[in-house]
Amino acid sequence: MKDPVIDHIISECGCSRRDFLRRGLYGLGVGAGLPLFLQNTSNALAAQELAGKDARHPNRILVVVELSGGNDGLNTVVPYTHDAYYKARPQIGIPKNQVRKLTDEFGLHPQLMGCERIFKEGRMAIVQGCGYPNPNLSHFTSMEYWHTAVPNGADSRGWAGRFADAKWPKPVENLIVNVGPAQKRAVQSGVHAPIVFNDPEKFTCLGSQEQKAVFPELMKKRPTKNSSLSFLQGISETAANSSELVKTACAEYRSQTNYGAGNLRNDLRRVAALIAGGFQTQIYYVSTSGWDTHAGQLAAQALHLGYLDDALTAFMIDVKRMGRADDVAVMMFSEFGRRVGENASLGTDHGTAGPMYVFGAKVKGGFYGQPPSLTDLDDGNLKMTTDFRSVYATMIKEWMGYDDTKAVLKGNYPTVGVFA
Amino acid sequence: MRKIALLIALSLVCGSLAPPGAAKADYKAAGPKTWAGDLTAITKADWNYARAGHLLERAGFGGAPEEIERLARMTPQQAVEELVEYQSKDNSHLPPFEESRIYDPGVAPYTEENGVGAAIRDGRRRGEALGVKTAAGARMPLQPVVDEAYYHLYADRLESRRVALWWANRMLQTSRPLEEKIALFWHDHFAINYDRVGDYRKVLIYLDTLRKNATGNFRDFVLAVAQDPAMLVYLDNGLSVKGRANENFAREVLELFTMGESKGYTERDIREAARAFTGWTQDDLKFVIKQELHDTDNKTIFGQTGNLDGVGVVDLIMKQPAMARLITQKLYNYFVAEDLSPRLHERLAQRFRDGKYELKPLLKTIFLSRDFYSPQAYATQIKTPAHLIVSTCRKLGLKEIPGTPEFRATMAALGQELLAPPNVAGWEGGRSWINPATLLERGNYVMKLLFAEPESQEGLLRPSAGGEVDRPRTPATRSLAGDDAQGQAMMALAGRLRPQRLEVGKA
Repeated sequence: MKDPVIDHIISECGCSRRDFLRRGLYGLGVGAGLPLFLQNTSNALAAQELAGKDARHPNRILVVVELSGGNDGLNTVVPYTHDAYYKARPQIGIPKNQVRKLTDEFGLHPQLMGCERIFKEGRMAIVQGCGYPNPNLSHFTSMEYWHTAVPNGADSRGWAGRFADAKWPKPVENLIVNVGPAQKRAVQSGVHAPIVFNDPEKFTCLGSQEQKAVFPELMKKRPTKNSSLSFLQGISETAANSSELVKTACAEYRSQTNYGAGNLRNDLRRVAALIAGGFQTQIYYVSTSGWDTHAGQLAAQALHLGYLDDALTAFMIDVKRMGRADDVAVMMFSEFGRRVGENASLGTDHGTAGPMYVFGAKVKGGFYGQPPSLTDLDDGNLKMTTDFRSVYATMIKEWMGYDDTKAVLKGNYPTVGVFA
Repeated sequence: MRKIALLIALSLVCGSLAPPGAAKADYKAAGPKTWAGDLTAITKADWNYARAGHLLERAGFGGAPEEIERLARMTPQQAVEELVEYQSKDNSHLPPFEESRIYDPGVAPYTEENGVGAAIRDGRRRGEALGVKTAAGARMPLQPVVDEAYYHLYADRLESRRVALWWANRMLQTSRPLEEKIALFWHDHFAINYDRVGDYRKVLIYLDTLRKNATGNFRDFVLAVAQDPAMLVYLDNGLSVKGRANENFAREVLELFTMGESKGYTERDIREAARAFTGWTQDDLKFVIKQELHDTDNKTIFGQTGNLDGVGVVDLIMKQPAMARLITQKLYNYFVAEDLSPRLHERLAQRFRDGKYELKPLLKTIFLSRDFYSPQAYATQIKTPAHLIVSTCRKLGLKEIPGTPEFRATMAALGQELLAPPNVAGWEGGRSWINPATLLERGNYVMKLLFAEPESQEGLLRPSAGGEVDRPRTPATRSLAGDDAQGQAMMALAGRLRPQRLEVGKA
């Protein structure tokens, strides 16, 4: 695909077209001074070239927000007209008059005022009763299922990694960004090395000019039978290429929007910074913890939902401000919901099904799926009504425009119809 | 010594593997490929400097050439014996933890995670808590109590972090490297988090429990951990009472500590085991069983019915075949290699069972085996952050963990704050230590250790025009360079890394 402006820039900076495709304008160090629309165009062109000219929605970005620890769905999306709910939770049920009512039957936890507004603007979808057959109540196992989409699967790749490999069979630099201290299994890909970073300030190589001049030689890949060393060399290369870009994008991001308190505020702001910086990343992954409310749930969940609401709302505002609202969708989930009945410690224990949430300008807001029954329970736990992989399929096909969800998710999961 | 230190520093910058410490680190120091999976003990003929270094790196935190040479002069049997039977080694030079004396007896009921909430509740009811009265008539009467509660929370947090640094210094200074190295393994396995426990004294007791049982009998170890005050608090067992058993504790005992997820137990086993542990709690620093809260009705666990209590559950677990498999898998991954063949796994598990779950014979078997020196085990291990820092300091001859770069901040950036694993499953380990950010951080750590101002290293240790060195030195550079010209030349050389030096990095 030819574009005279891009070609001009490429020839001016003396780079190759291949370099441009791999790194985008930002990667060539010329992105910073350009108007945003040009950057977006260039990224679209780059991504389109790399995905193949039939690929749909080359500009679209998927942001996954993981709530680690099993967020209690019933106190987040409250069935405030159901007696069974209040009977099961005499102490920790959210009082009717505190619920932020969305419909005649369901409402949001009082701390979710930003989400309430987004829902009323028609940009938030809530899919109820998401889970999988034979639910597992262990954090680690259940989260692994959500990351891989295949219980007991042998594939080391995650669902988002497999999707990336399918839609972009050739390596694209910075295609996947995981903000956080460790890489999530979900983004483990065969072809693309995810950028993983926590604090952009520290995401750089220290050293004097003299020393830095030698690092490329130090980090060069050399053939070796030592598989650990080979692995290290690969990561080293990724780190060297991406660290300066990330650091610059985050440092240059100017946004007055208040992301609130809590960890998610930093992570989502960094995602916003990279989007604003013209990164050709199309899959972002962030997570937040503190949801495992075995005891004292009211205070703990209120705290974390407050943080979550602030950060999510701020992110949506920023994305709109930078003109990318139509290109960004956020999918949020937790590895299970919690038991219907409260426990003796004013909390809840591990449960099964729970809601999933999708936010975005292109979302057809509202409730999807069947609300799980509060009385027809499975040993005290909710029976799922929607397989979570249907929501994954929705993001892959309806949002990102890749049709073969069966190959990616290793099964047939009908999409939910969340997008216009 | 200096040259080796420099080369090691370079190898640390470009990788985080465990080179055996020889100047000409050599992949061929590993045994033949056929040694993989072979538990036959190596002989004196198979023993050399490189393999002694490998042993010291794995069964400890590595060491300076002198230490490796000492082991190399022995037979391998003697070397392993010395490292594993460490109880006779004198450790009296290790200082006990120096307390800041923040603890107050009135604090005991408020140390846990919702301690502040409990203090507020008591303040409201009784007009005082934590030895502080509420300010009756003031605009915010509870504020003095709240202030006191937060003071203790933060003071304990800081003190617990001091405990972590004290432990790291033990790792550096101990005459019993295996004791601390395996205590670190057990901390990861029987994970607790100081923030949630909220009482540094319990953390000290916990570390003591780990060390006392580290190479003893595993059944006794599990029981000791199940009765450890820090663990009981961390897993909420104090809240588990007859009629409303809290499953958290029982679940983790089965899933994480002994059998492995879904390996031979059902959800029902967990619920029944939770009943067996009811009433097991702690009273300040002592394990107690509150009989009135203990469920004495019959329980059915692993098909056995009876009035089982926690001890009964532990004994039943010991009879399950899955248990030996989990422990041997984890020990092998920690000390030897990421990949364990099913055949070797079953052999090790059977040995563990036959040995009635004594840890020392198992460790000796592993450390003496040909498999331990085979190519897939040799120089292939990605060091944990703790191992990286401690071994780096050991090789540089440092006597103490330096104050800069700051220990806790470095460990957190590398993904392993001591005493604060991300969750009850501990740290994932292996390749997950390495992502683009943490790999850069490993290199940066070494740079900061060697050069006080890595970005402007120009002239750091080169004499200025007047012949004086006027930039600050880190303890590491002081140790390395001394005040002599040769040392300074060495540091200047460090600023001009030459490609040939990179051969070291490959091991």
